[in-house]
Amino acid sequence: MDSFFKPQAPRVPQKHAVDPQNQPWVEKYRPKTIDDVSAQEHTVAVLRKTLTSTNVKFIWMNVDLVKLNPSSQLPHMLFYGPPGTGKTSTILALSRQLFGPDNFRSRVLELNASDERGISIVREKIKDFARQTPRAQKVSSDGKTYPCPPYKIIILDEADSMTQDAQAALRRIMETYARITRFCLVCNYVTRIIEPLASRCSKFRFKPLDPSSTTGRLSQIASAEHVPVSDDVIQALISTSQGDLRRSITYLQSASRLSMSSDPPSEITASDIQEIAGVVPDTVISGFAATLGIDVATNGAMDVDGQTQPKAKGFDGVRTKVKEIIREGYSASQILSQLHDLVIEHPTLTARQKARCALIFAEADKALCDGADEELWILEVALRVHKALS
Amino acid sequence: MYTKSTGSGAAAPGGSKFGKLLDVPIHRLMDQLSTATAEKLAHDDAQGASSSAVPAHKIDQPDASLWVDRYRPKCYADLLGDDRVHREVLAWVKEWDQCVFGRNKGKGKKRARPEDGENVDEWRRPQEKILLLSGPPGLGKTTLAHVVAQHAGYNVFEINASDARSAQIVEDRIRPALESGSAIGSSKPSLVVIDEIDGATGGSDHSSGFIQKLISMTFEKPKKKGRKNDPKSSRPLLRPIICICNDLYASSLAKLRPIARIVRFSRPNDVHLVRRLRDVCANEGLRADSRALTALVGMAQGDLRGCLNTLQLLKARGKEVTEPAVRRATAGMKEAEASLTTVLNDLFSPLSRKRAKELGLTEDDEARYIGRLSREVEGTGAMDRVAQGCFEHYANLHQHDANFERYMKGQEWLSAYDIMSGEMRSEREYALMQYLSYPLVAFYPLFQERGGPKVERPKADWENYQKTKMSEEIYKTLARGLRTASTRHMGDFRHLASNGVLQLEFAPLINRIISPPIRPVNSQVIRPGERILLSRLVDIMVAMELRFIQEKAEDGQLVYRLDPPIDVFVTYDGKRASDISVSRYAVRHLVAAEIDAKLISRDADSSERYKRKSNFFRKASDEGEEAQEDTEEGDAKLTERNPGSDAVPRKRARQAEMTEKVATDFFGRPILVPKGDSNKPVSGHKTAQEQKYRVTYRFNEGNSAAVRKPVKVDAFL
Amino acid sequence: MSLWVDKHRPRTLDELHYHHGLSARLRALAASGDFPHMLFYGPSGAGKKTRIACTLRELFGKGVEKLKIDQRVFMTPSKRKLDVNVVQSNFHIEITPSEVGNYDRVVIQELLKEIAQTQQVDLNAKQRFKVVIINEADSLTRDAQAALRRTMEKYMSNMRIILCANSTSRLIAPIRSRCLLMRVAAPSPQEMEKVLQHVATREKFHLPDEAAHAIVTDSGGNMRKAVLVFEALKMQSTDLTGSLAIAKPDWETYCAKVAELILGEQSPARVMEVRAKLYELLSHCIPASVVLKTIAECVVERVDESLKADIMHWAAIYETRMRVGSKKIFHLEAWVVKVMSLYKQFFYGLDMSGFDD
Repeated sequence: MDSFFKPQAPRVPQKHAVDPQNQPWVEKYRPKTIDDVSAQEHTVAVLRKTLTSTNVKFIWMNVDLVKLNPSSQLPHMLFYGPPGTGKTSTILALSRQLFGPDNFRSRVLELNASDERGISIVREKIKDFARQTPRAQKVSSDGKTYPCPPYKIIILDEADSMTQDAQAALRRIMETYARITRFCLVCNYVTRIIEPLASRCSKFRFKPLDPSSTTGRLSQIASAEHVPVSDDVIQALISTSQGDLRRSITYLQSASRLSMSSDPPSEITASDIQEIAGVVPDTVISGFAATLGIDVATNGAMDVDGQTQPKAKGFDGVRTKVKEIIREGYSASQILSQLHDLVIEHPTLTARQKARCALIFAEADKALCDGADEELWILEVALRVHKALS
Repeated sequence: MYTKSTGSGAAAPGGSKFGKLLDVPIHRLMDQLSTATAEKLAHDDAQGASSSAVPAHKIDQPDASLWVDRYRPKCYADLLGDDRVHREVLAWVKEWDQCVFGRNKGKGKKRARPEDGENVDEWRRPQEKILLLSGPPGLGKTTLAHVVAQHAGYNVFEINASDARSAQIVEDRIRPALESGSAIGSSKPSLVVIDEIDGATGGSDHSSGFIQKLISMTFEKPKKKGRKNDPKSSRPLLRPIICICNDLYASSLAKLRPIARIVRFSRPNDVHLVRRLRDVCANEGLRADSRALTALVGMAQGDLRGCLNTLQLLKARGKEVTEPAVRRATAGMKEAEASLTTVLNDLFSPLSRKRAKELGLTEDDEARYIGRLSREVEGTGAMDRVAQGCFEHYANLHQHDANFERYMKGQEWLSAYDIMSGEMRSEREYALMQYLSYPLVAFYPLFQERGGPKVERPKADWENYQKTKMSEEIYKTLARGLRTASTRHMGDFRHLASNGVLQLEFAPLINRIISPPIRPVNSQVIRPGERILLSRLVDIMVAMELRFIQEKAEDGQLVYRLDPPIDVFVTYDGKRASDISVSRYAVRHLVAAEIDAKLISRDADSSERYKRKSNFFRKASDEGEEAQEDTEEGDAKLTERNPGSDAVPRKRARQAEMTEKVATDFFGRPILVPKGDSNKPVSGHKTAQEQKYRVTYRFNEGNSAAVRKPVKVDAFL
Repeated sequence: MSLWVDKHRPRTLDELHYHHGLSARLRALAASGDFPHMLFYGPSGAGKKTRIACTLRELFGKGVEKLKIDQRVFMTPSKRKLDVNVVQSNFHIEITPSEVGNYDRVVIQELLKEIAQTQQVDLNAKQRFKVVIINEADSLTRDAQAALRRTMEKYMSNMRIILCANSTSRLIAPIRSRCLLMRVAAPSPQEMEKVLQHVATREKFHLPDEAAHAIVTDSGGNMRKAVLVFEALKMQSTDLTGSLAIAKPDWETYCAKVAELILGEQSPARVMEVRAKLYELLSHCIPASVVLKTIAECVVERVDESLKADIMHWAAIYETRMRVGSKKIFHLEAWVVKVMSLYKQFFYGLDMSGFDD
């Protein structure tokens, strides 16, 4: 395990070395090569071509030759896509494959939002690094040969949280040092990258992972960690994480932690996963939906529920229900997204009704993003959905 | 004499020393003087030529000087405008005569201000040492200052916007200028004119530093009477200072206003201005009809400088001064500078006929208000305050608005404005700035009303801000108290101090908790039930670091005030909540006494414990805390500076912190003086058993020392 | 010695009165030695902080209760000084970054890096990591959250972060996915009554069931408030029998008054009057959104069914605007005007609109 751990995180000084037992699985099972990257076939194919073409020509000494063969080179890159789709993993794996463990530190600069990235850093740190001419090292200590192309890579993780000014300052740097430095911008929202920067990069879109590749990866990890998981659990993981592999791995690890730590190690269940993911239980959501006048395809439990408490109709009924839910401490955005799914996939509501509801959900989501009060907006959604459906 | 005669001889070895006396050799100075005279003569000729030249003579030589300078009043009689203002300024400058020139003009004195009689200033300076001239630009404030100063026989030393205005400047330039008494090479005393003082805003600390320094300078007094004997001590201000500003209410001037004599400039009568302009035109050979000139003056709103510049411009273009030409030339000229109140008034009332005429707006133009008003709003540079003004004013307008339609629209616009400006600030999207004025312009069609109530300067927001700040301060004190309490008692009070909880739950409820119904009786004869209540109350208050502090109210009555004054949080509109029983003086007195007793005994207790601990080092003790201390020795070691030692130093450190804390808490508060250093007296008392020292405390309340009696420490315990 | 709310606060996981499942889970995690980053969320007064304190106690033993309070000074890049209160023991550190408003990112970056780079020196410590508790995590700015996300991964070896928030909606997804979520729901009325009875027993007096019930109903699931109210009641009247008048906090009473004013008359003069009252509330540091919510609740109580939904709708809208904008009073008053207009229209029927034109 140690052997692959070493190239794993060469940036981290040794004193931070983690006991692999406690290491987050996300780090532990980060792809080592770009071929390990799950489900981003297109991107990987393109990158692999770069890798092999450099590899074949092996022209790192002869700068002139490289100039003649610009096609063989890595362009500036912009990786974008939802979280947990492997953007950072891909670029890290790529640079590791390009430079090998020894050159990695001198050739790759990784900056993310936890580092100071104001304009001053762009002007100093990034510029300084970009300016250095890379020195090559022929033989790697682990005996393998790496292509080690004659440029450095600067990875700007979470680039969408850089200020406009800082991005603007990057423009010129990217061009000036293009010969010896490649930039890789990684972000969730490509629209937050200013146009001049985006146009200098070739864009790679990372799409949310499809269930099958997630399943594959998850069961692979589970078996490596000797955690028994049922198909239910995998299903729950996939549905709660919505294509975010990191999230599902984290959930899996948390669940396994919980199950291991309870006195007789218990099985992981789907409801455990739901609780860990902060998902609101289906009964709560359907109860809420029923109050709003949505006919939930009822199972037995719902009927009982309806009988025990005579439904207070109208405003007061809705408000009481909302208060109840808020008291349980569920997250408003979670409730909304689950309610949204329920409404949109509902079998009997008309398209018009669904459209109206969707509009309301959209508004509420925006408001919640702006930090509005959760109770007010849940109530607002509830009242308006109630109105739209009655 | 020697220097002068040898100065031209230059490089004599001994002479070099003296040669430094003059930077420029004397012969060169003489040369300069003569060329200057020649130039001046030539200039005068040219001017004479141009003024005497016939109007038809188009090609007069290019004249470099601005008309504004050329026609600047040279003497007092040339001044235009309100005579009273001029006289007031002159009178103030003259008041300095006694101080500066040492002569006593009886006439001037009699006419001067009434408080002249009680002017006991040692240097016979006027009451206010600074004159603050304020008024819109272009009316001749600076000119007035200069002319008056010259008239009164001063040499003017001017500081204006082109100079840096820092506290340093006051020291480096203003003070020497004032203290030297007169500028070099002149026999006249100096008078400092600080122009555009309201613009001294670059870097908030600097500008206030500047004004602060200026103010402190005016109040300076030498340590000894003999003022020239001690050059090191700062000398008093002995020369007049005139400050000039456009906006009298600029925040940077807030401190200056109360101590300065303020003279406001108003617009001179248009007739005078027109006459002066006509003279100028005649002098310059510019044909101008008086209608055009009147229009020009109206347009410029009395800004003579603006008028002159416009005329010069027209002349340079070789045009005749006609009304349309004037209109074209002055388009947009005055819109840039409008004060807050003007803008607000413009927003809420339609243009007056007169103003419309002045601006030469037709009915049609007037209807196109958006451009005009938005420029005006933008011109204030303080759009937030305009918005605030709109907000505070709109509801004063009693327009018939049955279903609040108009109000809602107004509010909608305000919301839009606020959201936009909020977005601009938080996202630093200053591109939005240009649109900000438009939501405010919308108030014009909605609320404009002829003859509506005048718009007042918005102030409610500021008041609210002040109040909020005060409350925040109290909350902070309370939170701090809770936090220290929580370290002292190993409690978790700090959780109560978190945001929201403190304001919404803790503050109202703690007020109820600490005001139980207790009858004001002597603590000795209290009923057992109430005794429990009382001791509980005292416990809580001690734990929360709440105290009652005796104070004198304005009417001289003694009152006990809660400290920190958290009772403001149950006081709305000046009324306390009805369900909290009013705690009477006697009750508070009782509680305060109990709290003090408790505090003292606690301190005594802890010092006792400390003693015992140091004496019987690490003896087994059944006291919970000590036991705990022992069990956690391992932990304790880590934090100690000296890892070899035991838990004792730590204990001591805590002790020290505790007593020190208490001392500062109550320092200087009469009722608690004995407690202030109670730690000492207690130990003193302990040793007293062997040595029989008598320890006496005295404390004085008020000014009378009539009641003074020795009290033994026991009395406090 | 001190307030009941503190005195009878559970100190260990075993003492907790409700959510036993959660407690068991926390105990197991603390024992496992594989302690993740955690995010506690739930409504105010549900016992999040108590639970965190208990967990720490479980992790490190009694030492975590030895606290010292520092005021740390941080510098922003623009050389502004920030004062932050830091509560710490040998094993953990507790901060409330929202104290410094928009500069919280600086605090997060500096402080966490500093902590992460110091190793736990105490060889006897039960855990090799230190715990950082971040209170009011939901009011962290986006920047601060972004700064946090990578830090959480990078310094996992000697630091764990426990976030405490009222809701998770305002936390960015990457943070949520890096934490183990711990939902602390408000206690049920029965559980709350049990706690109150427990306090009463410990204080050696009898608490009548009606009184307990009344307090619980009033507190709306907020345990802290319930205990505070309980103590206030006990201080004011010793026996607690008969009909109890549970005092509403003054700002609530005042909000109710404002609601009455709004419905009493709809005129420009009344708008000004209401405005003065709103200013008064704001100057008492009552958060504007709480003011709006409370007044809205009171208004809704008194109006016709058909108006209720609209009033809440506008309350939601204006509350959101308030968050985006900077002048709270504008939006509060805008809502008031809106409500007045709605009420008036309703009251006088629909013919009003035609009448106005």
